[in-house]
Amino acid sequence: MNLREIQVALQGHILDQDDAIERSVAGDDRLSARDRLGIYSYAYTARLVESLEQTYPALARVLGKPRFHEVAQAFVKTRRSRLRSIRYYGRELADDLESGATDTMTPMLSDLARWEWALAAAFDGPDGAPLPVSAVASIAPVDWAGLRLRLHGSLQRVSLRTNAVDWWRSATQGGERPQEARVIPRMEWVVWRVDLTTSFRSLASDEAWAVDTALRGRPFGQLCASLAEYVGEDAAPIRAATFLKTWLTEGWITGLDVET
Amino acid sequence: MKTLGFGLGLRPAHYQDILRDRPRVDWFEVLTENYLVPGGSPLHYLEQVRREFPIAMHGVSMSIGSTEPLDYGYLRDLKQLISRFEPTWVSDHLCWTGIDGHNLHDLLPLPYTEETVRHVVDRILRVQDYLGLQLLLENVSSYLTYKTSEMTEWDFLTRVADGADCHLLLDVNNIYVSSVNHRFDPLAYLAGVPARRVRQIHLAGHQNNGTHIIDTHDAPVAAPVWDLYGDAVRILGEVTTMIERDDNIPVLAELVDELDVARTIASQHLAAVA
Repeated sequence: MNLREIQVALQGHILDQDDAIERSVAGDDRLSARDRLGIYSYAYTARLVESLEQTYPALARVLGKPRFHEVAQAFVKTRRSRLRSIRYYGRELADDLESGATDTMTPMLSDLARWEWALAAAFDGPDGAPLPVSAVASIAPVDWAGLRLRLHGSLQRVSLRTNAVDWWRSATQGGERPQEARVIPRMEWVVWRVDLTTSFRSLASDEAWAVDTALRGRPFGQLCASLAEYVGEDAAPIRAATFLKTWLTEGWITGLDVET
Repeated sequence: MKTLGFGLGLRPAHYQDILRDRPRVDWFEVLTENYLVPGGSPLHYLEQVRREFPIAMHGVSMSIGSTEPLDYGYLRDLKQLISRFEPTWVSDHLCWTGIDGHNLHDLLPLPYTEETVRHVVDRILRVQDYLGLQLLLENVSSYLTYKTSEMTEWDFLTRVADGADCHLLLDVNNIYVSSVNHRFDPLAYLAGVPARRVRQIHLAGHQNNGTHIIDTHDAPVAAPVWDLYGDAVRILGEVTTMIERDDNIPVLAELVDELDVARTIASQHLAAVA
């Protein structure tokens, strides 16, 4: 076997339990070739499971170690890493949990994974210097309609339909465990970081719509027009201005780009 | 060449203690991939630590031995990180980590053949050219031997380092682990590598399973590895040394004390050969 063939065969063994590599590996009286290859196969799964445990600590606590390991091992079997850093492995766990729904806990567990992924993404997401509230004073009236809000790079939007945040709180901050995993009316959240502090809060439906509009890079005029569907044409500009002031206060906005 | 002295791996659990206490650590080795993130806490603390200590960058994703094309996206990001933090040197592993776009997130062994030497030397030369520096490459622990191997691991290491004109990061724990797993003489290994190319030494803990040893980095450095470290200092002379701890990470003071053991062993063996 040449170098390429060896790499194809060893990777095939680790990912697909292909035995072709076995005849190219030496065994001895202590460990057969198969035993030696098994060390690499075991390490592959163990390392990815450990990485999932680090990304999803609350999910691991809620499920308990044995059940979490079952879930994680099933994920590793179907989801291969093409990532340079193991830190980003596991993004699809929430979707996989949801699609593999097995009991009444599943929607909450899926939401919990979605929530923890957003927290991790905010934690080491891009830095940004929030603008002060006074930044709006420099915007000329004629520029408002075309104004685009640059939101902090760490900001994550999460949409949850269960009481997963209560479960997360109890798993990470102590306190009473919720009595049940409940499906609730969908709640919209923002997770973000200012300096090194990660924060989150829930959003009313019109604010969630406005944030999503801003995240898509739509101008302020369009944001007001969208809001008119929620609060009426007359109230929309005031509602939009209120959001803008709140978002500036919370450190969500790092740029106000005037159309040139 | 002046050494950096005795260092530790920079771990998030110790950020605050390092900045507050200025421990008896001469330098820190940082895991490159942990800082290839857009922002937040990792880069913030690395900046702070860098102001106070020399650093070296140690990567796990270069996959220098892979038969895949080099990942220039990774190398571009690495180059930016190097430019921002100015490490004293940059290292990775003499191994491969995956092909066909997969990353197995493991340091997989290479067959020690003429073909592999040529392949790896060519890739190291291209990476060094792109980054504008001489790399340090580390020997990995291994649990298998390919029947096609044509030379010893230390001959392979020497051929690669000489061919690519790169430096070596000698992991003394890995030499010990592999010497047990493959029944070779670790002293022959130490005597067989070109001393002038060895820029850094790693020390770490392992797990002895009786039939084989696993390189776990989750325990203090084991007694036989300390002995081998003494031999390494005797054979190679004064070399920058650090202790790697990646799991069961103790309080910083415990690792600083362990680093003092390395200092003592090194000075005793250096005095003996002086």
